[in-house]
Amino acid sequence: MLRLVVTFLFLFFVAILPLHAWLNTTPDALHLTNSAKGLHGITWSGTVRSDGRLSVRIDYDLDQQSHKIDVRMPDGARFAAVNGTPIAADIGRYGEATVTGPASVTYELPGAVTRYRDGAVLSLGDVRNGSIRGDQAMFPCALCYLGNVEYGDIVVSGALFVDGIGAFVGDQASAGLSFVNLSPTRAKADDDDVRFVGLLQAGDEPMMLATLPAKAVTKLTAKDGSVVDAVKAAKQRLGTDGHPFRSPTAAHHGSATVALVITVLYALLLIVILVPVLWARGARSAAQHAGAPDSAITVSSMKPGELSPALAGSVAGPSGGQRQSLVAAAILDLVCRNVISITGSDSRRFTIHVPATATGTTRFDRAVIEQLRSPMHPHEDNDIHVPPLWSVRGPTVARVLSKALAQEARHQRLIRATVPPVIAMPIPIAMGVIAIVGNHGASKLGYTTAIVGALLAFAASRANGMTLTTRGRAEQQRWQQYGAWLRSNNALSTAAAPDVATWGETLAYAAALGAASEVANELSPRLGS
Amino acid sequence: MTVISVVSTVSLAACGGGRDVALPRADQLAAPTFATLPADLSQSPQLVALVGRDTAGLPPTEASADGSLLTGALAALAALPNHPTRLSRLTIYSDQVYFTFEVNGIVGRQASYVYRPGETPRVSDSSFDDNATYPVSVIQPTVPAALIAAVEKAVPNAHVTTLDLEPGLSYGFGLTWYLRVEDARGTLANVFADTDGAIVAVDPS
Repeated sequence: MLRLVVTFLFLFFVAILPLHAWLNTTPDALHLTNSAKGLHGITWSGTVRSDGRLSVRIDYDLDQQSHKIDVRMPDGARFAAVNGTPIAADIGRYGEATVTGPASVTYELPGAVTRYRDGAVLSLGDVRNGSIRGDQAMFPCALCYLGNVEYGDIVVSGALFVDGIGAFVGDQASAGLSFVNLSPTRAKADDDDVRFVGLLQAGDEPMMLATLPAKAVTKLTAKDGSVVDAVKAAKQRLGTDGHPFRSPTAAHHGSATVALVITVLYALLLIVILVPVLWARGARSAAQHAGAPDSAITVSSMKPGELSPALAGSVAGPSGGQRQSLVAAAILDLVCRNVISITGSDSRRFTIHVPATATGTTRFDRAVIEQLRSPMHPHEDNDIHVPPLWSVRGPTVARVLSKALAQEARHQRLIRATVPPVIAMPIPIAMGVIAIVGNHGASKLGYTTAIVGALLAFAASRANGMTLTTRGRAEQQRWQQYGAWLRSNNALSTAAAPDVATWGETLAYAAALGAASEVANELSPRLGS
Repeated sequence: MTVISVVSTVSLAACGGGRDVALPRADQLAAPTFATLPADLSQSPQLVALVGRDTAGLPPTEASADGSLLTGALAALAALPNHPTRLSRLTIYSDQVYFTFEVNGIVGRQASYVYRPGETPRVSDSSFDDNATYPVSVIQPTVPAALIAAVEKAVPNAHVTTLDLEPGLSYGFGLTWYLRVEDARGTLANVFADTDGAIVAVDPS
């Protein structure tokens, strides 16, 4: 159960990234229900020059009727023009024009940007006696000063163009921009601009505060204070009770290509992990429901191959605590190959002789011999008088030898990790890296997936343990048949360790395949002391 | 213009009306540009907004201001005792240039000086005046004559009768030249120009 929980937790966690990537490819739209008649929307664009001057263009998307425009501009606005044609304006601020269809009002505005040590602030707005001065806002009340426009809400979109503003605000476009009366809004910063869109209620005038990089206004003299303090003060000065400043919601949309690549990687992860896990679980369940293994196995008296007794037992022997009998099988196998020897007549008293020169052909053999040596004199001959063989060292020996046997089985390509860490760990890392690169380093979820996903992959791999390979399953089938035949021989079950001289390697395989319980008890370490 | 219609993705909402609007794409928006100072001020774009009117063929009643007086006037100002460095007013007429300057660098103490070519300089007594001042160094002496020529070329039946460089007449533009343009019917317009000659606004009086 734990293995499934960990595995599904891992897969669920990593699934968040592709899901988020796809959701991120769709722009977060706003919905306008009560649109002003005659005016489809307003686009406000502004460019900030190095001396702090702002060039403004306000595009009124008017319908094709005749519209009288009362042009209202902030103090100090200059070069006023409508549709590119300069207009006369009282004290430079109040002009008028008549247009048919869309109209653009343009002007330049010095003095709207103030530079500080750590940046600059663009402020478009003013408040007098608690009311917004429309002339000083981004643009004045559209319904008040545009003829032939009827009551309704207005879409306001646009961009602020400032050198280096993208790097300055990073992915926090909302942190660098805030509005009064424009809500809700979405914003996104690129290298040299911040784009935005929002909804304006009929009759309102929007005010804007923007933080800019100091390097964009190098020709302005820096004042004392910081941008943070200046913005805070400006919000206090300009904020009204009913119309607080609000920052836009970031409106990143990620690349569909990035989302696709991440999804393909996730699909690969599903195939690599989920299929073997479910397969292994199904196989275990089927085995449990099938009852005793012997009932469905054909008996064979022929030793089916050249696997060592321990490896044969690892694929076809008993499971759980009885697997410690594989150590007994390995000891008997070493005796059969004259690496070590057993002297004595019965199970009550015999001696295992381990020569100083004893060595095994496999890593598991070598591990068993290592455990049989005297801890005090590991390079000398060792005679072990049995019983007991392992005594209190049982659990430690069992753990060490179990690990060595698993390594040997993997080396022989009989088993493999159910959730291969070499695949499961790199994939979430790759998904995270692609998300990070695809979002110009701005994907926190990408970082999280790469780190936490890799750790969960490792945990899932450990929890799911090992499973038989194709070769392992073939060997399992053959050795189960041989094990069934061995278990049918009652003499083997009562044989003692010294009887290996009589039975030879048959007793070793019998110990490995659950057919020699007596000798397995004599030579196997116990998991509990 | 069409930007909004392109920007806005219009669709029918489930409730039966309205439209969805999304963030504009970067390629749908162009950065506004800045005006440049023309080499010939008569080519100033803002002069398009200065339109003459019918005067029944009558010439302006007032003479044109003489911008060429400024160079000599500034030289004479510099020759005054204590060399005034800050002004609160400079007005160019057809026959004289009028200055109000800060005396001895003392804020609030100002005096007037009228320059007439060939006449002895006349300096008033000092008096209190808290009008804002600006440095003499911001004045480009050739700009007034060029502005007068540009405006009178745009409106041949009108004269620039006075030019003022005074914070109080700059109307939020900072410090700009204030040109009064008159024809036979009276004041036609006021024109504002930066100290470098850039005509920034036309005020139709």
